[in-house]
Amino acid sequence: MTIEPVLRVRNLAIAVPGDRHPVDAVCGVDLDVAKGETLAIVGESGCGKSLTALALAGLLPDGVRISGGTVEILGHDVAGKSEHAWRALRGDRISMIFQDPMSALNPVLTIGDQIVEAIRAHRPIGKREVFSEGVELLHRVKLQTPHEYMAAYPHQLSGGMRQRVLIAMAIANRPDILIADEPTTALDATVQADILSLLDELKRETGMALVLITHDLSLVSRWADRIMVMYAGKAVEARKAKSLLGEASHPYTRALLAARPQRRPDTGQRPRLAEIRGRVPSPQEKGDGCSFANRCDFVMSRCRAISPQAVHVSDGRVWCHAVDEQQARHSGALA
Amino acid sequence: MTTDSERDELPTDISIRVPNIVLRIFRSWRKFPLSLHIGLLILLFQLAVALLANTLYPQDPFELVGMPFMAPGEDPLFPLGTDILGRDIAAGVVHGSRVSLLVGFAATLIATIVGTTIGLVSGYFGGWVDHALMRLTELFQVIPHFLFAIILVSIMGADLSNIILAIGLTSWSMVARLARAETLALRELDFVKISVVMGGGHLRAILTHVLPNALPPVIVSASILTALAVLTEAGLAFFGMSDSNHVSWGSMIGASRDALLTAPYMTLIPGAAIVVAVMGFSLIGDGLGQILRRGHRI
Amino acid sequence: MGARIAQMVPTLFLLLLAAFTLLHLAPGDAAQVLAGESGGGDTTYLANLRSRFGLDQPIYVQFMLYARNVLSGDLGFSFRNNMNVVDLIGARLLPTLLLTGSAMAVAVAFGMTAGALAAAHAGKWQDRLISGIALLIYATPGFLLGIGLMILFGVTLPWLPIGGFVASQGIDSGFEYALSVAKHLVLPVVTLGALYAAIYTRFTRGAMLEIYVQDHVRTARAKGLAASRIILRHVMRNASLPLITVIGLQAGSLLSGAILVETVFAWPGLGRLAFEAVQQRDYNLLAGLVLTTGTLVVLINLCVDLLYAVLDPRVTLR
Repeated sequence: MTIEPVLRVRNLAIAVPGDRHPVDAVCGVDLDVAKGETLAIVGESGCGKSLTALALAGLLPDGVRISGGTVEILGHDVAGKSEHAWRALRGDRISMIFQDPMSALNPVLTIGDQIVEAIRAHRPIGKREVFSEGVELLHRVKLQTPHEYMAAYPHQLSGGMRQRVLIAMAIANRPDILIADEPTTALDATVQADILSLLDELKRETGMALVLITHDLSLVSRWADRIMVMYAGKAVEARKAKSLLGEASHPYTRALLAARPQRRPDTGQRPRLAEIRGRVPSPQEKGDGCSFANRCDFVMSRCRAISPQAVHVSDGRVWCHAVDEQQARHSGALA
Repeated sequence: MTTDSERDELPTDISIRVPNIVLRIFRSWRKFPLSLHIGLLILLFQLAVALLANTLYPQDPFELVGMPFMAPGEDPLFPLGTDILGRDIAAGVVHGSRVSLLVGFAATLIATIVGTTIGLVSGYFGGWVDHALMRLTELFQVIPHFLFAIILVSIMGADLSNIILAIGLTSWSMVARLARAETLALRELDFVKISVVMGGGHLRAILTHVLPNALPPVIVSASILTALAVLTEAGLAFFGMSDSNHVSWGSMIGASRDALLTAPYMTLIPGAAIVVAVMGFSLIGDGLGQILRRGHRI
Repeated sequence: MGARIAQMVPTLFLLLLAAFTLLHLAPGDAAQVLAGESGGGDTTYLANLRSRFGLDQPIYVQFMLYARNVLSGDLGFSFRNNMNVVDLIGARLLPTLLLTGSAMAVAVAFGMTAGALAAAHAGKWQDRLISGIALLIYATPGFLLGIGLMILFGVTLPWLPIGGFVASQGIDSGFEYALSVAKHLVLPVVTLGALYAAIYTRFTRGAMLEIYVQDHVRTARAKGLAASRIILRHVMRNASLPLITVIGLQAGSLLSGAILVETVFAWPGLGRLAFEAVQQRDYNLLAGLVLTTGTLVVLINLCVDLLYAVLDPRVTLR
């Protein structure tokens, strides 16, 4: 990493209310995202990726809190910041868009009202000026006839259009970081690629850092510079997208890649989808060992006893005993 | 084979939601919201007082037993004092709990049966039936309930059964709307449609599938109705519309109007009894509502 | 819009039918009442009276006659008051509207504020305090609350008049008249207003807690809006929609409450008129009151629906 990251997370832990006492639903997560870079966080539902995303924007729900680690935005630690301090950052330096555009807009206010208030929350500018900025923003997210959209209400728009409006609101104050939590999951398949390419284009224009949260590895593989795979609240593999997709090391990543619907390049046939047996353990069920041990095809005795440490591989890190052993053997053979 | 068993399982699986809720209530007293705890304790206490009324105060509460205008604590024989005519206020409060409970429960029962029936039929069949029944419901909603009730009591005469009938027949519109809304949503569900397609008949579909599932919100509204019925009975009695054979909290207040300034305790004591009883039913409604919303969320 | 107004017609028709049924269920008919008032009468006199009032006609003809009279503004005659029912009601309508309108305004202002405060501190002591007070007021019979306030502020602390509409002496100008009415208005408005404020507090609290967890509020937070702005513009504004529906549904209940409160404070409105009519068994007047208050509630509901359509862009009146 030569460039100073705009977002740097170290050893992040997030506690959720448990049966008796809070349990960590996310722990030990490290992130670095540089200006103009796209990081994808991938995992099944319940793996902690959405909690991580909410924590980055200070939007954790009541009762859920950051229990450890640091979140640095533009070099300042914000993990323990007050709601007041967060308010100055949110929508200004760090923005967020959510999974369901159908419910993410206030149904009784016009699109214009909602965009204008996003701008004015951080820049006190005049009425006429803020309106033309709103029109310009809608233009930038490729909504035709933006003037008409300004006066429209959310229920008059389709899901894809609403997500564009939400993106316009998120980039209103030229943020340094945009977090997109499953931005296309609720949309029609045909619209998904449009939204992602719009996000990619905006990122190139503004140089903001983009964090894409998704369960769909195949969808983001085209857009991400780096990918972090999460499982049961922990990172299991974090690498440059190209090497992760080409030579995934962690058994879970490989299983995810195998579960991806993809035509074989040679024959064009769809192979049978591989499924991952078993289910994700809940935060309460987690023991000392590797969380994936119960579902892993390559499980060894120490996998169940000791939580794996990060192993450096080409272009990133992997948390797996099997990979560690392989490397050790490999380096041993070299020596 | 598998499809058959699935089809058999599907409806029963969904329609046992109510027994489940009943079971849950008994099983999880400790998980109840605080409001339900307090409300049920108040209700149990009131039930106990009503059942033991004749043991606690065997004499007729209308009997003149002491000096009139005795303040509470003045004579240990009459811990809550005596009223204008020298009747024991404690005896009146204890016996009055019977009338309040009876009116509350019976009027609510009438309103719930009428309202649920109209709501179910209206929502289930739709069309002109729905239209007609909803206009009827609207009629009972736009005429002020209390005005309606005093007119009915005035026509029929102020005995206990007429008071119950008048309160019950004027307060069902809320239940009908609620039951209709639930039914409209349920009608579209597959297990109801399947039941009719498989020859179960409409009545069967309504009774076995729609009714049990529409019931939980109706039960919540029933506890609110009970609270309102107790208040309405007190209001009627304050207007002199009470059964002269039964002492009620409202009639005690009405009888003490002339002594309002000289002996406010005659008004305040039965008044407090009403407040506590109504709070009890409201708290039960709040608590059940919370459980219901919690259940829906899961 | 046209359809919404057309929808009122069957309800109003049923209202008319209800008033007519009430007149027929009532013991005795108009002829007997009239004959009784004028000192009894023989059967021919009664028969004469019956045919004059159309009481010897078949029931549906009687209903048509009644409907025609009502539509032409004739609600019959109150023998007890020796006045036309329309005039009696007309004289009492304004005080009732003044009382219920003011009480409603007080209730909405206090209820929404208290409910919002309780919701903002959900589960904390502020919430418990507000919810507890609201429950206590809600559980208190209106007449008891009125009596309590009357004793406290009319007798113990003689700040306010204990009843009536306006002082009978010392009124020299329009301003003094208005001031006197306002003073008489305070206690009944506080009584009725407090009861409904309690209801609206409970409802606002619930509605706001439901909206707090909705996605669009999270979007508003993500924009970095101030907490006060989120509460006012995104939570309260949206919570006011279901509240408006509840206010409309409760219009009839507000008039019910007015019957008791007006009686306690001797406020010369429709409620007190209803109490007097019941005491005197004046069924002509009662039927007129049913028609008037019912129509009033129908009209209020229409206004509520119009307001709703203005405030909620998703709803359009067909």
